Amino acid sequence: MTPSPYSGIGASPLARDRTRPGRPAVVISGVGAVSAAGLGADALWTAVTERRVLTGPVARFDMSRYPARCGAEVPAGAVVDLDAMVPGHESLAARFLAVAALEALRNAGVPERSRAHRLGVFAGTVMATRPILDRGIGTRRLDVPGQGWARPDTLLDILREVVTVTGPTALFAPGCAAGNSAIAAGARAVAADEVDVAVCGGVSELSLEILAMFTSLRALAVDTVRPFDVHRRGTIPGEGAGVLVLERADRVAARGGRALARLLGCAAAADAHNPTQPHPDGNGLVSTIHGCLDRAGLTSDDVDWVCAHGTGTQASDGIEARAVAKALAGRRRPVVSSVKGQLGHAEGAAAVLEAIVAVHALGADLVPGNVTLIEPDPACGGIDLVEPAGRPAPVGVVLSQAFGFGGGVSTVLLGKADRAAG
Amino acid sequence: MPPVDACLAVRGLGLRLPGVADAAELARVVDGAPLPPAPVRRFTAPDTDLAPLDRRTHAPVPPRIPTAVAGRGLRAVPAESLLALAAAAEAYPTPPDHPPDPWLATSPDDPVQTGPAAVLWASSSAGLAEYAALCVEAATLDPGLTSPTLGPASAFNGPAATVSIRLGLDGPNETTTGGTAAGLTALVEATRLLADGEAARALVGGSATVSRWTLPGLADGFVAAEGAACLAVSPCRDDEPGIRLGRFHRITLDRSDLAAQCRALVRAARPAGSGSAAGPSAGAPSVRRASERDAAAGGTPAGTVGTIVSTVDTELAEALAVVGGRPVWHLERSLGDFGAAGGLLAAACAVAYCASAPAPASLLALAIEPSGNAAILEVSSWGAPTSSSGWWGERSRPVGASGSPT
Repeated sequence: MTPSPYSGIGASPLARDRTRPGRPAVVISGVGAVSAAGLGADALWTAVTERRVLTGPVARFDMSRYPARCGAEVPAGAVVDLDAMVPGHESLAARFLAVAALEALRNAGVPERSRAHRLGVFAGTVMATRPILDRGIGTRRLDVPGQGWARPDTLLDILREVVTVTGPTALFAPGCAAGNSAIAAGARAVAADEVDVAVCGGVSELSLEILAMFTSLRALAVDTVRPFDVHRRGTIPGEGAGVLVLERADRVAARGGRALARLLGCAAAADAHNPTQPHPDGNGLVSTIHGCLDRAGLTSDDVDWVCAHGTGTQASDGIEARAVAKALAGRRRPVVSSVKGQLGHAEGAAAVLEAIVAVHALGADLVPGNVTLIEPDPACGGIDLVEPAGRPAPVGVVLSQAFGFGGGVSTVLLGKADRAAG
Repeated sequence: MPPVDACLAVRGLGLRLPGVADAAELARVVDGAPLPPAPVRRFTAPDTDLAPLDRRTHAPVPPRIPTAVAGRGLRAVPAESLLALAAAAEAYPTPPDHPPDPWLATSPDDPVQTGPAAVLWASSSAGLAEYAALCVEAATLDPGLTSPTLGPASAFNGPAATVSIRLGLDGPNETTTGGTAAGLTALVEATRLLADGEAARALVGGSATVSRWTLPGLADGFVAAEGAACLAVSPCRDDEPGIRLGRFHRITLDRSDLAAQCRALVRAARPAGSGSAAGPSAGAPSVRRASERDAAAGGTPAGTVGTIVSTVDTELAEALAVVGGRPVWHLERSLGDFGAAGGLLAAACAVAYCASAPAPASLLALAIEPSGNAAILEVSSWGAPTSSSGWWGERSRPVGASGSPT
């Protein structure tokens, strides 16, 4: 009997999570990335493990009059290489996303051109195609290029050209937690049997508007992002795209595929506090960490690495450190590092790129270090900040968290592919 | 057998729409009552090379923030976020000293009122004017002199963030954007969050504002729409009367044969055994729903009486109008183009219509994008308190002798 394509609260499996043992296992079967490290998830992981700092002077825009001029751009050579991989588009972000999706699907062994499966796309972004508008910023007035900046749905144009999408497409823009929102939505769709394959992406294009905004907020680091360092001076915007392919574990096994990691839980919350400042107690973050652990049936001592949001801004890092220490209080201090010291803050792409790093960390049993950390902030004493060299150690469970302007928080919990929840 | 296995109960509806004061008026618009004509307004973008543009648009909608919402600092909040806040506050649980409409009734100790409240919001216009203003300032001012308030307001999530912060809602906070299906996606994701126990209730809304910057993102031929709508929802309990959001389906249709696939989508969405019925029309007032009036209260559902579709493709909407003789009401043709909020507005219209009609009644809310991305949701009323009146209280809906809205 063919199952009904219709869903609803009643049609989705209510027996889930810790009280719902029937919830199907959702795994990550493929990853793809475009980042300041270049093209490919392997290039990203290599850059992380080689401790390369990928922020530097912005080449795409004239920043000569700005006090802070750094960004984490996708290298110009990699942008040129896009031409051989996907069609052109006025939005670089649209091309980044499509290239990362193709890599992730091929990595998973899922054909990108098939109507035999229900493939849905869940993408997270902060500004979508709006950075197209930045190209008109010159002197004395704005020369407006095209119209794509007003059409966020065109962010998915190229992906739709190169991948046959048969299921839903959903575009999430909740702020800098967007990537984890997309992962969570894709996981829910897989678990509810709405799709067979969920392409979950996060994407961002370096924006002069963002650079101008952080300049006016005095939140840009002049040289380097130093998360959790006592001398941290701010963040540096980045760009790129990360994509995870999510499927049910049994579907991957049935086709002889290999799961890279398991998605153990997702949780979201809001600080409900201030448009630009996290709640001083990190309430939203604490809530999502507890939510993830509850759903997975795990405790704080089970978490081997916290892949922190860690933007390098004065207020945010301190609040995050205290919230993590509070939420994960156990037999040991939580092990924490942020890769934004190397990758900058890729905003809409950040959370998924960090999830990809987490997948690699699970596979390699290596905790990436706080590469740019020189002098840990005493205010962050409640967490175990990983030394810059990284830490070879068993990594069975990784918590990856994201939050941003507006107060939205979204956290995902990842485990080794063969790990059973709870 | 009930129309859906389980569902979400609609516990509130907030509206800030041009020419529509409340849900009863919205139901009348769906039933064919005309809106005031939208005048032509001129939109400009100073300090840019964008030429002024004339467009049919209603006058800006005053937000009318409910008095229960703290007013401090609202002057700095962008217009679209204010509209969202007003609609959300109106949809949110009624203050204790204000008796709720019968169809919204919940007791203070109702378990669905406890636990985290999620906010999910759809918009493609939120923050765009602020984004563009910051770009203009970056072009015309020295670095560092741009307004520090513009940047944080230049993303899509201003409405959801404002609702969360101002109403103190600490559950999941999500914003969807893109085409018209984004509004229904917000409802679908709310359904999943509630089913997974991540939230006990949710405010799900959509909004749009009009500026010179948003016009290029809208389809030609429609009124450029401004306004907001918000549904308060929570899990439905057994035998609970009211308006329900039921089954949904999301899919990407093959663009090579979109009309035929849309027709198939609507046919498949109807409850089994639903009979032929009249329903809302796109133009003149319909002959009202005889089969609904004949249906026994709380008994077998009357079946789907029509579809409210949000699409910028007029031909597609017209092609759907012939599906099984059931009427199709085209949101954009009547209320205008709300961008990503269109799907949510379609659901809000269906809720208003079902609330005005003798129960049981059922409508489909459908959103279709030119890419083929589509979502469809069943909206129904169930277990009517009387057989002849709708779900609106006497003070909110005038009911004619025949049961039709006047």
